Amino acid sequence: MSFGRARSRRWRDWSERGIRWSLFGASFFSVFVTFAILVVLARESYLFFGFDQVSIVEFFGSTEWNPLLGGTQHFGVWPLVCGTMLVTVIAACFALPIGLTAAVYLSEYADSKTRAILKPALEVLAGIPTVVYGFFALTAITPLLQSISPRFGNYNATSAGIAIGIMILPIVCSLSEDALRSVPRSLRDGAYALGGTKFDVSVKVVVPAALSGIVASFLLAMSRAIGETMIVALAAGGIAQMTAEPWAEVQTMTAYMVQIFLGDAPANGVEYASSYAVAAVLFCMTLGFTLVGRYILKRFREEYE
Amino acid sequence: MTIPNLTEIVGRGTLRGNARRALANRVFLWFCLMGTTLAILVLFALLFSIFLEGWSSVTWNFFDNFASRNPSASGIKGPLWGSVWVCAICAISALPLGIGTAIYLEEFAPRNRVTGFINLNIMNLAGVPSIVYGIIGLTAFARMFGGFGSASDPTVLLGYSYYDEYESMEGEVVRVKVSAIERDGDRVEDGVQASLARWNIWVAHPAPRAPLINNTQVEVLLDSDDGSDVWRTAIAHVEGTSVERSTAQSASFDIVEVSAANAMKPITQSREDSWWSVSLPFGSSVLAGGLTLMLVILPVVIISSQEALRAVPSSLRQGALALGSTRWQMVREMTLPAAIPGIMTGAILAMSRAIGEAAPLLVLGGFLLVFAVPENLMSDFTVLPLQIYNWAGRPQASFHALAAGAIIVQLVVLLVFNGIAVFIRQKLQKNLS
Repeated sequence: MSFGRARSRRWRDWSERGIRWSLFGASFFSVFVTFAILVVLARESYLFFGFDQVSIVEFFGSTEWNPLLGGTQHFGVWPLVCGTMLVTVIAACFALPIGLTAAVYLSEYADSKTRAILKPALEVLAGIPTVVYGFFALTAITPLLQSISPRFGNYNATSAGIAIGIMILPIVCSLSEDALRSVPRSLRDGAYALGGTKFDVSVKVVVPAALSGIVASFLLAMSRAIGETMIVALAAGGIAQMTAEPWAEVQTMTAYMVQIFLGDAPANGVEYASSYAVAAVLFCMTLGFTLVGRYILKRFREEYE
Repeated sequence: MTIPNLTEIVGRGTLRGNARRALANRVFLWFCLMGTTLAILVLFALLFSIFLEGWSSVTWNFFDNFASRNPSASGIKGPLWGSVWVCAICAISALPLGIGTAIYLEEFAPRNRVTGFINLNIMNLAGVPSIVYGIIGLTAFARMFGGFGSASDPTVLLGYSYYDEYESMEGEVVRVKVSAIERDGDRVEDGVQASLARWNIWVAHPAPRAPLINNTQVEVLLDSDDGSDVWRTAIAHVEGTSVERSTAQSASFDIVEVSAANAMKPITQSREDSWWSVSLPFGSSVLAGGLTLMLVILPVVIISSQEALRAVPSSLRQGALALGSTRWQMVREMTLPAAIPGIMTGAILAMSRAIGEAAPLLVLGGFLLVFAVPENLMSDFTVLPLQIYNWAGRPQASFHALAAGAIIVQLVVLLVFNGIAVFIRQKLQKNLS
């Protein structure tokens, strides 16, 4: 009997160890994915800069992006970055004020019944696939803009920007609301005790106290906006140009990648390789926004715990 | 951040007079209400415009037709089944990996730098744009870093049968089963034509380039008059360099043409897959698509599972450990059952993200027009969001109506998923603390 027990214990120890290692393997997979992303982007970008038509100085220095059309090819990434930022800024102009005021309303004004209805409704917005927003931009927002001003073309930055704004609205709203709600009640009570109105308390006490959380929510939302693909591929157009005009047709980094991978360029050519370099730039930009956002969020959390 | 000086802030307000402050308060309330209302209004405008435009497209035929140039005959059968396949592969690969990772990080991992690094890493992965995952999927799964040849000419093939196709004397196409596809060069010197009464018989040697030798087993396709193909295994009888006679299991026949000069070359070679066919690299197949989506939702699954595990009160763990259970016994018997509703909710929400993803699959080269339901892991595919993208990008209004119809289907599926998630959250979650 004792023999059997000893054997079963040994078996248990071994299986325990096996399970532990396989679970560790699973968690290490995520590190491996990161590693794969870095290796793929670095290797292919390196190959891209090995082409004769390209130099790293031109890539980051030139303001001309003309990879496909005949004649001399130009690979200066700034028009794509500029297009991305234009769309992102328009999205931010739409989403940040609305998202923040909605968050303030939900956190400071709304009673629990109203919250119970409004919050899930906003979360529905977060669950809608982005291609649906793209369709909405193309078939509803663009005609609306064109009826306001004929300067808006069939593809324009504003339409895509507003659609992305709608898409990131729930992110801004729910993360900002989390930040506002985690402001200690004592701060509000103190402000009320001194005779502050709701406006005074919200705008002058709660929002400043939650500012780092709100900024973090903005940054995370911007990161999503920069990486958004389907909306810009449908609604923003395909002309890479340096412009700040909201009615202009722009090409973003993601839209360029879609254009390449949909088969406009021959595989193994320089145009094809350029999409990896663009992806590397995109990856670095979103990673920067995410890291700064997380950093601010973390510092903010430590403040009140 | 320092706590604001309350007296100063509120005091400054008092100086302006109470009426003004009350006005500011009211204006601000209206401002906030407007922001919230606008957000909700946008949601309704979106849903309303799509339902208005797409409602007429959603008919029974819409589910039963493949995509077509003709809008009225177009449907979503291809993308619907593509979505089912891709999401099944995605769930099978992502959920065990993601939940396993979460269990390790929450229940097993020591609180050290490595664990902290993995956690930070997962946070960052969640912020990576999905199109970047598409590029990684394209490079790692569809092309396998170019290590196995190109996707159109894969190096490693499992579960396929190969055929040489010959043209018979009557001008019909006859297929002969061979052991492998010959890449370049003409192995078919050994293909010998024979005929017997009603049969056109084609013999192919199983071993490429080798001369037909005595007693070699050959596969023979008997192409009967009524058009049905009959396969027989036959033993070749060879004298010298010529084949004289061969017997099949149930038929015996003479081989008439013998010399190499009369040997036929196949007009083409074909490949037939089976349900378990796999080739390396994966190419733009459902397998590559599902694995790419796995990369996209893995961080989401991990983070939500971690949160579910974290919500389990530690008293349960301590109780289990105090009774002498090992870590895994504790996880299996206490933590996991308590966390399963939360994990399932997170998993369903992650899957609803996977269903809606288009960008990574677009990069992968998911076919925009697919006229077949996927049959195995190597099948071409498209998914609903890609089909929506394809239709939405066309100028004609009739295709926009189709896109809106597909969106309605997509939203209904998502609604069902979210409904299940809410149901699980409400009904199965017990208060354990």
